[in-house]
Amino acid sequence: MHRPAGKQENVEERLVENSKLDALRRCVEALPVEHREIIVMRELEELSYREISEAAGVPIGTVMSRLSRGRMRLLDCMEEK
Amino acid sequence: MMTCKSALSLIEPYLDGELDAAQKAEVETHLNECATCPAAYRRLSELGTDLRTLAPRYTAPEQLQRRVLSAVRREARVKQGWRLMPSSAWAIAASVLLAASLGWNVKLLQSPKNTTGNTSGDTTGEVAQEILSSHVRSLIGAHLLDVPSTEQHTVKPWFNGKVDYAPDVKDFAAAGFPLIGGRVDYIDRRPVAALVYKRREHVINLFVWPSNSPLAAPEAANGFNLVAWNKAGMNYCAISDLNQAELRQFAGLYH
Repeated sequence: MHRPAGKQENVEERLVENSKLDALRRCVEALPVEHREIIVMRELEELSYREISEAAGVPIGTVMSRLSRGRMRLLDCMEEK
Repeated sequence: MMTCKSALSLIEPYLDGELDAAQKAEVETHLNECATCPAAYRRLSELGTDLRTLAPRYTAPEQLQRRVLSAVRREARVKQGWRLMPSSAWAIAASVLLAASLGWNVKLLQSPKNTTGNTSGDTTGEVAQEILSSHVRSLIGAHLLDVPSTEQHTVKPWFNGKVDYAPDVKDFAAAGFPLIGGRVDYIDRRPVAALVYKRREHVINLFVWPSNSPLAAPEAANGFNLVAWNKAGMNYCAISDLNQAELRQFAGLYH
């Protein structure tokens, strides 16, 4: 069966994209809970630093350092995969 | 000109939408001109996009969502008591980042509550805003201290000729609020003495200037706490990311 080359590429791209997201999901799940909680609130719930600080009961500075560490861990984890 | 070090520390607050317009512009200028920082920016930006793509598949546990919602609905003012502070340099780095991320948005300072009792027009809000800006600038840049000294007898004479009054310089090291120095800042259209104290890793800026009309500063603005008082013809305004209770304790020592 004849298939346009462009469509074939799209499918491949999607597969690559999906496996990347699966890897990322595994990396998120592997994060220590205090990092994961804050990453989820920022990236998925889109809360501000102040809102996260109140919700998690930690100072804003701690929110920022945990976010930053969490992100570094995720980037490192993705590089390993 | 922004250094790579400060640009890198601002990339995350930039992506998180926590910077004011001026800081955003500085970060953007740096990213346009720098050869190395854009790579870090792209990595973090892509990570954010990928995480948000995961959102439908990954939601916070129900209990966490409830905590988040109830906290968000609550009034913005949080009662802060004693708590354990992170002991490492992270705490300092974080408070600098925090300061950097907050900018000098004046919304809170202009709320009606904050100008209650202010009969002298809108100048009070402006002064409080200048104090907030000065505090934030002192935390971001290198200009925290003009005279780094823990010795009150060094700091007090240093102000001679720099401001046209003699600020009352006291050291409260014994009470856990050591003096670390002073600087001159320009507030309310005049040079004003700023005395700098520490409480653990928190910086307290105490602004002192002669005035007969007490400053009606808000208790909190942009994540910083403020305590203002007037004594013997001098206005005092202490500002810090320290909790309100300890900042009041500090103010109490001065009275």
